[in-house]
Amino acid sequence: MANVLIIDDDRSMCGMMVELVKNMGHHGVSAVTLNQGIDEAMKGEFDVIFLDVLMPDGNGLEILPVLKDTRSAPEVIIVTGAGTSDGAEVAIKNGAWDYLQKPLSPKKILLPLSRVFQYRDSLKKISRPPVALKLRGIIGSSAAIRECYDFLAQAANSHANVLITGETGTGKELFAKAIHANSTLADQKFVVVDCAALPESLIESSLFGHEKGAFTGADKSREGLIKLADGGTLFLDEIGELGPMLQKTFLRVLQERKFRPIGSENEISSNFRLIAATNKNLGEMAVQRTFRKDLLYRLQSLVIELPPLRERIEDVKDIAVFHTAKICERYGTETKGFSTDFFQVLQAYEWEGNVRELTNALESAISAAFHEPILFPKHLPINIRVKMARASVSSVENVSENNGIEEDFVAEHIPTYRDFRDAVLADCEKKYFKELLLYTRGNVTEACRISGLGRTWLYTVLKKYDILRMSSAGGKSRD
Amino acid sequence: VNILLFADNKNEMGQKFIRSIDSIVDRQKIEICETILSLAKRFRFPTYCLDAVVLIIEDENQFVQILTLKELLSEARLLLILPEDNERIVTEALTLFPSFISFLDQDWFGVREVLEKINSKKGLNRKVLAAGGCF
Repeated sequence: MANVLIIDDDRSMCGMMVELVKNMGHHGVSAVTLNQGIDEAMKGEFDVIFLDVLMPDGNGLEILPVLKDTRSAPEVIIVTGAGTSDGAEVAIKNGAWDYLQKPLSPKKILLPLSRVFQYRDSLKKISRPPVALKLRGIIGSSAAIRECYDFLAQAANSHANVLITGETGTGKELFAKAIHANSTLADQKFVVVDCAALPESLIESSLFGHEKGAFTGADKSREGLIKLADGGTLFLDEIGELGPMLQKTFLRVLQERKFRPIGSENEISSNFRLIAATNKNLGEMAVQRTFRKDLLYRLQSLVIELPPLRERIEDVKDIAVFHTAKICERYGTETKGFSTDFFQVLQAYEWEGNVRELTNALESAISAAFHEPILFPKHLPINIRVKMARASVSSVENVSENNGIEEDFVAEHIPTYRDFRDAVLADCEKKYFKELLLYTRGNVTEACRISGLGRTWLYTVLKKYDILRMSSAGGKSRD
Repeated sequence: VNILLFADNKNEMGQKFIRSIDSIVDRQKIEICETILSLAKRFRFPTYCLDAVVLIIEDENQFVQILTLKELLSEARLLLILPEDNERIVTEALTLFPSFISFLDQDWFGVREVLEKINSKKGLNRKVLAAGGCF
């Protein structure tokens, strides 16, 4: 028997759906506000949640991540009276199972519902062995990167085209290699086409090859990379660099798996798996007509969006330890230790150049501390230290101007700057949100209006400081 | 562009190559390793400021030795000039994940064009490469 939660302000709809679920042999519960819905979701263990979008106390889509994050990780089916394609996209991107438009009929509900049950059942039956992915230098255990590992495993298990997106230095090539290494093509070739380094004319001849005499300097015929990738993986790095003509030609290759080398009259075939990567927004380029939509559709059978390092800052320490050992091994020196504040600086920095910038900074630090066993912040590149110093000065200035906190210090017990900053921030935040809830008497909608925060964000902060529980103890929060 | 060039010292291939890229790369930005050993040793020093590593491989013996440096070369942008255009050598060369492959019996025009493009892109990635200098 499965548990189903219906969050809808229409009481008759709730009644109908609870009855429907009951007739299917399952257990149904309903909530008529978002707040009530969150309470129910946190109390119970639901397999499916039907979530209405337009609710009296806010937009249902805003609490979707909170619901998905509850203990039983339920599947959420969005229900709306006024569906828009944008809303549907937001819902699906946030992990919704389906997006249904009202009016609902039992038939319309039954199909997705039974599919969810089927899916959840199959998950329970299959005790999947943990998949040991070969990650080959991809380091991290944050939620953001773990999500990417799931996509990596999914990509490795299929031969579908994959598009890897992410800022420069996020590890797109490492992911492409890992997909290949974990796939059934692992013992075949992995052929890289570095579109960022090759001028258009060379990309064409490198990809397709050429016949003798096809152009000046072609004094021999030569096989192209597409043919060389036959049976293996072709990795087009920085595919956004391809010009319009090449995009058109390459689209045809993807459609027909055949191409004509430059200067040749005969077509040859190549059966390869394509992985493409870009740091550009190809969707936006398609709107501006600088990238073909039809090629984009072909590329994105599976998309892996790699997070920037600043969004998985908790991984910085592991990445630093891994690369320090690797660099030291290359230098033929013993690996270095780290001072505590070394990691604090690494974690406080923004890393606009992502993992690549971090490894470059580590290499610089290691060479600066070549004969020293421990890495200190002073070994880091000067540009990083200057930036961090500037940030810390302005922050301390603000704190002392606004709070007079310096009086709280006893000189011998001055904490590290980071500890101090975190403590002050946490204290202020907690005070603010407690007062906010007191003022609104637990009315979350009103608290969102006053604070200017979205509901999800507000709930996250309230949960972080345990304010919901505290306010429930003193009088349940309400809408 | 900062280039690390591997070219055997027994003949003049390296000098010819340097002359051919004279107009686009400042000679002082070209670091030369004349033996496999010196190439391997070079990787004991920072490499993040190298925009490209150009390997002029003159025979199979050298090629086999270069393949043993696969791990060291794995993070470099490699431009390979291979001794000959045969399928076995090219297939093995692909395991080094080069950005560009050319051959000894071809002119240097392709390699030149690639270096020009890397040079034009360099400004965009300056932030990533900002962590000090190595020359």
